[in-house]
Amino acid sequence: MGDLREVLWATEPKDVDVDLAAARASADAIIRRRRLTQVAVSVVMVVAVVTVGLIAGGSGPVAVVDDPSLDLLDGSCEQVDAAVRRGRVDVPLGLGIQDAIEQGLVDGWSLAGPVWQLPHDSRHSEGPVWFTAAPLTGPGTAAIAVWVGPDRDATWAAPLGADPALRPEQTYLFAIDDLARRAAVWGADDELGYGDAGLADGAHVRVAACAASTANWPAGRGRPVAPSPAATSTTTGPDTAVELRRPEIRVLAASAAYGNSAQNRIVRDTESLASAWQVGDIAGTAPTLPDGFVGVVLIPADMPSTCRSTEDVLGVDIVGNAAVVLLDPDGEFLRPCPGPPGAAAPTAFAIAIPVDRASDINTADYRFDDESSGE
Amino acid sequence: MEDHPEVVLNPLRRPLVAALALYVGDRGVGEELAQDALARALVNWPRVAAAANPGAYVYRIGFNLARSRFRRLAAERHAHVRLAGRRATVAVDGPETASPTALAVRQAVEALPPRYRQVVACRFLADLSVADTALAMRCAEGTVKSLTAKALAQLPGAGLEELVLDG
Repeated sequence: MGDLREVLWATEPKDVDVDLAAARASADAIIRRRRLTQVAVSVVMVVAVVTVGLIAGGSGPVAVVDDPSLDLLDGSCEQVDAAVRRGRVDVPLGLGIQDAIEQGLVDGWSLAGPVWQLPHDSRHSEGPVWFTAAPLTGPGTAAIAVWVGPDRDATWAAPLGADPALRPEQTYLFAIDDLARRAAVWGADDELGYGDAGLADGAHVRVAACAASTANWPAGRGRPVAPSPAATSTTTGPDTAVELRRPEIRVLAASAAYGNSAQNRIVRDTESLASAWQVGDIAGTAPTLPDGFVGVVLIPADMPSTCRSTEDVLGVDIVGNAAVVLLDPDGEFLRPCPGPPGAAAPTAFAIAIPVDRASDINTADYRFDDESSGE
Repeated sequence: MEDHPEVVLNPLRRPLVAALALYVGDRGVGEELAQDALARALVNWPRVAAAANPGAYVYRIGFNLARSRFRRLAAERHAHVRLAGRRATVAVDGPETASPTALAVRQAVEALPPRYRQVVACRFLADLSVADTALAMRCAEGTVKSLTAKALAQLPGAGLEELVLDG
């Protein structure tokens, strides 16, 4: 027997389906597309800075839109209703995109306004591709997060940086999944596959502009700063956000049973959360749970009791083998509440409800008990 | 010589596919990633050619693309099979002459954690040096050595005693 190299190659097929000519053709297409979209990326930045200026009451930096005839807010964008959004997007890809934006935020990042979508016809896919954007806030920074669509394999967020020198290649990408828990400045590495910020086009511009126009930045975040190492460091917020996700995974992995035992399991697992989180009362949400579902609400421990309103619960969404309570992003849960001086505003919520039959449920048929979404 | 991309890239096709397939756990995906990595290398050829080892740089592009895919899949985990606990599932479609021991080794490598698979792919499929592996994996050379040692340490015990591991 030879060495490991020999052994591994013995299991490899002789031929591979990789064509250098095709790679060359793809490269040419990328170059052409990049040239066309560099202008669009610049426009995103201009719109973002203008928006920040408006949000900041005119005190922030204001850039001039070079082409006033460019109507970036032309009514293509659609605000995604928190309660019905999952019936609107293409599945399965679109489903994950919204999950990522809403629930996958880590390192202290949170939604700062509604989620927006824009259907965009693509010759590369059947039916429209939904571009999704949402305003985000993080430690010292605000940004528009844009998911550029399932055919582009990239998520990027245009920083609403006050620094006019901020360049597109400094695009701020947010880690919104389990594998990358830290936000990072990815720099020019987008050319190497870290993200396709340079591939933004008019659709991205519009959906980003829609999100920016409706951002509800928390107090003190109206004038965001440019990304900096400090903005990416983990603090109390990031730690709790990350910790929040771990028991969810553990619970799901052990969700053979449901009922009180499962609920107790959730409670027990959540005891390992950072002390900033505590288990909330699910009583107000119980009527909205489908039969066989149980769960708990996790809330920041320092949230004043007057802010703990179950009225913000829009409904229950069945996702994979779990159910997740949807909370109104405009509700009290996500608003800064009066509290002790210096207390952080609540930033994230999650609920994991183990079930053993969720695969039988068709999410498209599920309707939410929603009184607050306006639908 | 390195001014001509094809001269550098053409020999990389097979090992690049092999390395990426091992890393992501799917040969078809490995081929797609390799194709995309080659395209991106062509787009950014001046930068690639300026690297200490253009070939290693192409591997780096490929691994970046793979991680991007991981991120997307993880983000969409609610709509897809969860990644957690998922092992590499490379369909071994190599020569029928591959011995049972070779297949056992392959399976043992596929069962390694992703970072270990990555270093094995770099060192033993891509045939990269420690320095070039560090470039491809964007880590220190010491990390490469450490990961290699740990990866190899996990391989024995699967009927691999006969192997002479070339670390």
